[in-house]
Amino acid sequence: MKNFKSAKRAGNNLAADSAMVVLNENFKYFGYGYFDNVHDAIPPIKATFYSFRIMVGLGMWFILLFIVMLTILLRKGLDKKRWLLYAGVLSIPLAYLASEMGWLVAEFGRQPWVIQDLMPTSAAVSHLTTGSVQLTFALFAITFTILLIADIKILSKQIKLGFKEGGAK
Amino acid sequence: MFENLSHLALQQYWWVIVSLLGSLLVFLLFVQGGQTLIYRLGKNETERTLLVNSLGRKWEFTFTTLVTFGGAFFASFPLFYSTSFGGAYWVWMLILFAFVVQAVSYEYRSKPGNLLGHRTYEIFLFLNGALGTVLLGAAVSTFFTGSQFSVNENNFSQWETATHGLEAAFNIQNLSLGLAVFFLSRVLALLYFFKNVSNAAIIERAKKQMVYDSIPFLVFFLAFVTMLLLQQGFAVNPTTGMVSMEPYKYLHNLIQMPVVAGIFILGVLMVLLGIIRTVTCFKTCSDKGIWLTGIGTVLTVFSLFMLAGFNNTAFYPSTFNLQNSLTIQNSSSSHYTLTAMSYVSLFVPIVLAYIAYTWRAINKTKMTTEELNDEGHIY
Repeated sequence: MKNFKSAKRAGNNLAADSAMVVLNENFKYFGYGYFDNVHDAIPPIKATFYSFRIMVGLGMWFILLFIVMLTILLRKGLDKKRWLLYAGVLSIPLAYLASEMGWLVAEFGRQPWVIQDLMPTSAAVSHLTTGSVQLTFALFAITFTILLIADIKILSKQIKLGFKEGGAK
Repeated sequence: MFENLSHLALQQYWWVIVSLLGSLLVFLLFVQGGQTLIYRLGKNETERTLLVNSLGRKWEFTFTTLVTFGGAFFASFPLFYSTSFGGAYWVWMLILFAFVVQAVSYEYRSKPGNLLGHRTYEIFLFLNGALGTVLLGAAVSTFFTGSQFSVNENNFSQWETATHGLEAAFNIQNLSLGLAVFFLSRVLALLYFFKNVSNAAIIERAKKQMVYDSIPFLVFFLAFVTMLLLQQGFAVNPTTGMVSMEPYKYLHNLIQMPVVAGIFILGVLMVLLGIIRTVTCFKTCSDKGIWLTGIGTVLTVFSLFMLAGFNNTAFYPSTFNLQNSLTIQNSSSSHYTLTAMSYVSLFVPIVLAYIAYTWRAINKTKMTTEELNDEGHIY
């Protein structure tokens, strides 16, 4: 690509065309030029392996839970099965966990690429200082933690207030 | 259809779409302007709640337009996106935080047990209104004043100042546009309240406020336009692609693109006419000003984007190295990507029609304090 660009700048179309041929022939390996070591092309296996299994395991748990719930609901005994209702409530956070695990599979599993075979993550990152990223992370963590606490407080309050005709107030 | 267009034609098509989205966004920033007026116009809790609910029915329109504008820019001109968002990092982070706290403030403000109290969420709304408008205005102004970044031969960009974009807010021209957008958003908010809120005390205060906000808007807008038309601009040689400084470049652009000049003049006149008619014949004209000034805003901002990107101009100039400046040609997606996106863009009129329909449905009647008591979802 360097040869192509410098030939273009110099107005040498012949050299540019020949550089383009070389580029096109090797384009599918373009991103590998960023690696010094073959091991750099391997994604983090452990993290991908376990997060995938946790996600699928939780998916299986949800299917089982819904089958049991539906069966007991159709027999009109759901309100008497307190253990099942507790299992339902306790499973709510598991849905978020499964979703997060799915993201981890996607993001760990795609490494080291942001664009498969063309651009590795290491080449795509912005040129920011570590301090800037740490500060942003801290700001996000603080802001969202405060908002999460507020959210939980609002939800708890609404649950205590119960239903009102015409919507919650 | 689109695949037969040249790459340049597709780039120009997408610059027009991005410009349209940007100008619609500036009009919709009236929500932000309104948020900075909650305490100026609302003197008790009921009045403030009325104002917040009037804006609360519209804030998602602004938010979605901001996201669509950013998304369209990202997809059509990715080198601009990576340069600006990765480089002018702190400006965009501040804008992001301002919009994060806005979203929750509307939903949490009036809920029992909201941890921070309704006043804190009103302060968040003010911060969003002030920071969002000033910083977005200043960021757009860098299209004309330039930024300190470099782009290497592999298209990797790097910001060349440690302040990562915050320096833009200390440039007098950027600041002028930022403040012009801030006061314009307040003027638009007042015009919106005249149309949307039925409360004599609020309307009376808003009427006085019109003058207090219109004058600084005009001062800062005129200052920006004067500096723009007199400044050197970033001209691109269409044959070699070399960038050089050209005296009166944006004035030249205006003269060489008479359609854009016409849109600009019409836009400015409509903005002014909307304000003047509202102030001078308040009883009969007050609820019509939003359309005149609103459409005028869209036209004016649209023409500014045209000045920045068309007529062989670098729309995101680098003052660090002129030859690293971004143009619609050297920063766009490939022909294939722009073609695919252009087909998707055919759905834009459907989305616009849907927005117009929902807007009409929401706006059928003016908001009153009585209505707040009947409303199931209070912001």
